[in-house]
Amino acid sequence: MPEREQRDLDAPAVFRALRAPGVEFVVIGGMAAILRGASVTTALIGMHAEVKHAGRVMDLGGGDWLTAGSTWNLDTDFGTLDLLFEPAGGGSYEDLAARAQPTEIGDGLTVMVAALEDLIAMKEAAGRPKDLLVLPILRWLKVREETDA
Amino acid sequence: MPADDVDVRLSRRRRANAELEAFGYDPWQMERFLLRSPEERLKWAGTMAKLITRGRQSLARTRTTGP
Repeated sequence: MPEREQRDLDAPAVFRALRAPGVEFVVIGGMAAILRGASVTTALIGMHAEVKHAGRVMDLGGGDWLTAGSTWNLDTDFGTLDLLFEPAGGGSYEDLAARAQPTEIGDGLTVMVAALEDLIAMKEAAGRPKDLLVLPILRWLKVREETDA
Repeated sequence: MPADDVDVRLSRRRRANAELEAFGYDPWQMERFLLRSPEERLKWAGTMAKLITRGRQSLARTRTTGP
């Protein structure tokens, strides 16, 4: 199979596409770190989605060829999307969503972004070099959040 | 806020800044990024991701065709 050229990342477009059919999600990973104020780079969008909404995501793909699993790595028209239903260190979707912060990202669109404590736990659990690199920044942001007057 | 609380808060921030610097990051650069709105941060992320993508594509072409 020929390798597809990687698409440019357009996070708001991905958020809108998922929101339209009512998929509930919390932004996690590097994109969440950026939204929370971490000056880091990422080439994909990470999300924790409600497992019961997997069918709605499959409908977006236009087919029933996707099978359920804990992680979907999706190549979309708006960049790479990692959809995690059971992220390591993330706990249940309900708990993550309850602690997440609603964040206005322009054009009237608001998305839920994982709490810093959850982002730290997930990065620690993932433990890859790229995760460990972001941890000092997330911990710094957490202290900053806790010491805001 | 009591003076003791202010001291504790500043002390924690100073320690956090020192820990961040120990990893080679610049706390002031991080502070500046925090001034951006989430919308601006997303736009910045999109620009950076585009640069990463272009770099990867360029590297792949170089590997295939040589410099």
